[in-house]
Amino acid sequence: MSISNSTDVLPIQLLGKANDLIKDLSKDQLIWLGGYLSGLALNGQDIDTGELVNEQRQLESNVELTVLVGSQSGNAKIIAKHLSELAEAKNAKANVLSMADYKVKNLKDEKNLVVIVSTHGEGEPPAAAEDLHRLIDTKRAGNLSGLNFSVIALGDSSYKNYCQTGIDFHERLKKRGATALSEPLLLDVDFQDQLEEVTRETLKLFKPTESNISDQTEKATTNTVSSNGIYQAEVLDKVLLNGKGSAKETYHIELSLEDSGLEYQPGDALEVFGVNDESLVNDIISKLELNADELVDLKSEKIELKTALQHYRELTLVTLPVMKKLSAYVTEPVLNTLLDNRDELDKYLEGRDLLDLINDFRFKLTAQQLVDSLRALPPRAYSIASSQSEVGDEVHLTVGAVRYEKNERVHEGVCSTFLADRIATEEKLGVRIKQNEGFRLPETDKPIIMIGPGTGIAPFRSFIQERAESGSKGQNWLFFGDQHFESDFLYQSEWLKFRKNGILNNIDIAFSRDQEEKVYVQNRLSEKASEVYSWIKNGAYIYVCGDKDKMAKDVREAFVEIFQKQGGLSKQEAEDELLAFRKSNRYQEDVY
Amino acid sequence: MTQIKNNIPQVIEWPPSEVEGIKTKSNFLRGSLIESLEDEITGAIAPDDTQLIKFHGSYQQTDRDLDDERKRQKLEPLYSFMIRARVPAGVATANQWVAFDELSDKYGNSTLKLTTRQAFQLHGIVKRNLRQAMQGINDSLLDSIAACGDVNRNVMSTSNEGLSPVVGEIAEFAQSISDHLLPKTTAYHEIWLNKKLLTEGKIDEEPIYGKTYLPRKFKIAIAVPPYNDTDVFANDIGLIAIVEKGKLLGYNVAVGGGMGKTYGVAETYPRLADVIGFVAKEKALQVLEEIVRIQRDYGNRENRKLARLKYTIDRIGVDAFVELLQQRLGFELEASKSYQFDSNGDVFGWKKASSGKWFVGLFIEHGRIVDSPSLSLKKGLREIADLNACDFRLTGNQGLVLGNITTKDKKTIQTLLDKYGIGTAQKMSGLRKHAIACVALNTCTMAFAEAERYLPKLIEKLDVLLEKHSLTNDDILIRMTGCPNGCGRPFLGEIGLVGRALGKYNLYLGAGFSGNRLNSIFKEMVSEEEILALLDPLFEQYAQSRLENERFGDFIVRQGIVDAPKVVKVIR
Repeated sequence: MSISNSTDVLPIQLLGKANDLIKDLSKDQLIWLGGYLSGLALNGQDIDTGELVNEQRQLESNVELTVLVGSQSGNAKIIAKHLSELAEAKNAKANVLSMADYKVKNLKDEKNLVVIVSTHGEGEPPAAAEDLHRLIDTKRAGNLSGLNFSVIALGDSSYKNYCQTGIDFHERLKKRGATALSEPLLLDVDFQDQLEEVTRETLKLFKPTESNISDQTEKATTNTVSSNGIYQAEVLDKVLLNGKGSAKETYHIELSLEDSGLEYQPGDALEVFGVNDESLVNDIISKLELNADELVDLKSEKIELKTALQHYRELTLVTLPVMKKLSAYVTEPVLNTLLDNRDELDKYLEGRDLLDLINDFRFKLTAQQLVDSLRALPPRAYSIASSQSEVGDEVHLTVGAVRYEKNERVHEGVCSTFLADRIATEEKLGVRIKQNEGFRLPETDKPIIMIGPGTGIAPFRSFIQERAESGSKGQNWLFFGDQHFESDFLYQSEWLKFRKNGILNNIDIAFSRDQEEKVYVQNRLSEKASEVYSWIKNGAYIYVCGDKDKMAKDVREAFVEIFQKQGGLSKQEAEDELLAFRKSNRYQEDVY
Repeated sequence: MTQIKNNIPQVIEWPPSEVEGIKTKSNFLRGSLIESLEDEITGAIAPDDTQLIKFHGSYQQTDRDLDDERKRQKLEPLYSFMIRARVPAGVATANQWVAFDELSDKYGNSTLKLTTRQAFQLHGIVKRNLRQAMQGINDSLLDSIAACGDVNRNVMSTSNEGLSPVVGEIAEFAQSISDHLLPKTTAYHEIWLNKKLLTEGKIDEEPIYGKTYLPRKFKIAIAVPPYNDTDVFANDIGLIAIVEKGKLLGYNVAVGGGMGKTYGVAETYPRLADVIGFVAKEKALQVLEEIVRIQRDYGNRENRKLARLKYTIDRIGVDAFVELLQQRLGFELEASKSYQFDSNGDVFGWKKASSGKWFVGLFIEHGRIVDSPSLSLKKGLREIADLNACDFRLTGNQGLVLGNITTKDKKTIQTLLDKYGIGTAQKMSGLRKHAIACVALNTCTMAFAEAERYLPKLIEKLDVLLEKHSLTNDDILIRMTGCPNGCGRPFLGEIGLVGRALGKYNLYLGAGFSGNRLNSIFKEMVSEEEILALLDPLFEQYAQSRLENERFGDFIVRQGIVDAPKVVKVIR
């Protein structure tokens, strides 16, 4: 018996193969197979012919498993060890990794995954699993349709949410498109008795990896970047980095560049298009007795005054040209006197915003005149705090919220408080990469000394991520400072990890308010003068990021002194030496 | 099982646990503590050093309220250190009180904790201040050596001299036990006091402990009947003072007590000490040392959960243990003498000692010395300490006795106590007076649930039930701990609440009122609502059907409400 008259449905070669396959089958077997195949077709499933043909050799051999372990008491590790030993005995491979060290973005590249995770307390994940447990439920995990998995969940059945963390992993992986090869396996405190069975059954679930299957999910690149380079980036995460009791307010912000194709280098900055605070806009409009809904001409469009001010006009800073333009609408002579005296004007304008100005002087102008007088709201640039080799299509920022009291009113930096207060995760904001060729890592084997107090730390997180990922042999030394060790040590846990891994060779810190006398990074540089000098002699590149007016100047002085004392130079020679360093890019600054 | 040869149990060669390894290579408790202290980048010390620092009287802790938040903030946990100062028999001077009061403000969290074992605890000291805090304690002539760790801990003793004429003598004995069993290593002086005591080429010696010290912590307490305020049966060694006509003869020796157990490990359990005989006071120190040495040689060094003396004794058998002890001593213990304990609580109020001096017992809620909006306890006690007219005696119930007060000063002190409203337990329910809670959250790394921060609120709700059943003035022992390790001796509470998870406790009932009987499990994993619902009918039954003078725990046992709990055994 053979299949005939079907070449219009099935190409002749395939038909031949089908005939080959079924020629030895009995009548009963054929009838059964017919039903099986039509059942598959009706259910709309793809017929995995590989599965049918190769069933016999699909034992555990050649399987490559990734085993992710989230352990509290070590029991999950015991199971993982057992599984990996059994896999080895069966000529398969189980790569056991701790969840604590695993990056969620790697999940989409996995084929076969076993999750072994315990649950503690009332259904909470163990510390090692916390991050992955959370992130796997976010877009970060990506599309996991290529992933087969099985979960072994440990727990204590005397607790209410027995094995909850394992169940969460199961559900969340499924939600991301991964294929569950079994229901989650729940193990109680007496799991040791089932150890053999559990590992054996788990291993059986997985099929060998087809090594030559091409990645058919071609990346659909939708070009969402506008012609001026602006991209609407989604906020993935926002965290206040300063611990309880801190006087500082520094945010770590993670943005998605997904599908933008945007690329950046360590040292680059990100321009962020902020939006003004609505209440400030309202105050300005009402003080000037204007109408918020009134339409004004802006870039050959008609838009409401309120929108124009909030999105397109700078309000938190007043510049000299703006001041001059606005002076046309003021009758008081005082303003004109002020305009004639530059020094006094600068002093007056420092820290004042538009609302201060219209509180101080009586203006009489129309909505259109106001909009025409003000300058466009420019984006603010922030040094990028991530490296793409580590974070892929994400970009991270370290942003200090600017807030200060003046004229009995809190003034806020437009963009930093936009990021801090007015945009939430999953919302989008306009960003653009701003290259900074003047702040670049040297060749990978060169030592670097990084000085970045406060938010000046940002590019160095990028540098270190880059050097860690690229396997750079160059030595790395970081100087960081802020107010308090306990609350203001930005990215502390990451630095500790990099130090432990041998990436960060030296780290020195200066917390100004933890002791009677204030200590800053430049003091630490001076204390370590001879070691700093020997790094320089070994070809170290020096990078300084952060406050321009005070810190950067003090750090330059500290280096001049190091050149003087350690190198035996005169002050002039030392200053020339520093200048030479700057010219040859061995001393680079990103200061603001 | 331990083999017995020629009537003597054989010493087992244990495959050493991880901590044993750390001790062995620590060079008499030094480890890398100095390097750890000098590492400015982290507020923590190296993992191995966290084991060793215990022997120096300190624990590394984190503010657990902030652990999750700080992890998100990419900050390490907020590490700080607890320092426990050893105060034998709990007797401290007024100057020492002042010193701790100041240290708590300067380096700690501005509170002091009086522990259930008569020690001072300072909390919240960050690493960079740890040395200065240790030096401050040392300057006050106290120290924290062996306040924690696998050694003999603070020696407890009844400290209120108004209760018995022998208390003073016994407190002195507690001091000499403490001195005798103190580790001899000079590591403490090197690390904390910057003093190099060893001359070049010489190494430390530990004649009693050896270089791996004991397998586990070791606790000794003395009580003077009828007061068992040190809960002697909860200790590795309990000494019961035998007094005749106002003279101390010696002690009944009880061995193998201990509270701790581990959930899910059936081989662990709380155990009361067995009374194994009487020893005259002149020979008591020798007996103690020999018991310590036996535990050093026989204790389990493979599994720390099974390493306390109580497990050693149960493994080799109490008779074999006594036999071994007597062989090593070269003499036999006498038969134990009769004694009677009435209570394990504190006695509040003024008592006059035979010396003519006055002692006043004060109620301190859970031993926490802190100024709150409603009570300026810390300020008031500081003002009293500044008079330098009394000493400060910590009790085994987290309480305080002001002692050695002349009749002239008595009035001044009472005036200050009145001014600040300190120590008056009169208006409290009998339940609150007897409540003990350990520190637990937010600093203890072991706690599963709240204790000290929560028990006062729970008692408020229980007081309503007690009032309903007219039991407000009945003395009832309630004890709460955040974990089953037993710092608050929860298994000796007539009502014992032991933390399982946040908001969930195991409820134990039926302990004796004088520390003579353990409680038994009544219900696992109960919430506050369930605790109240379970206790309400039991209070009602107790109010209606108790015998004359019958204690709540005794009633629970007589009614068969819990399985018959373990009582103190007298072996001989």
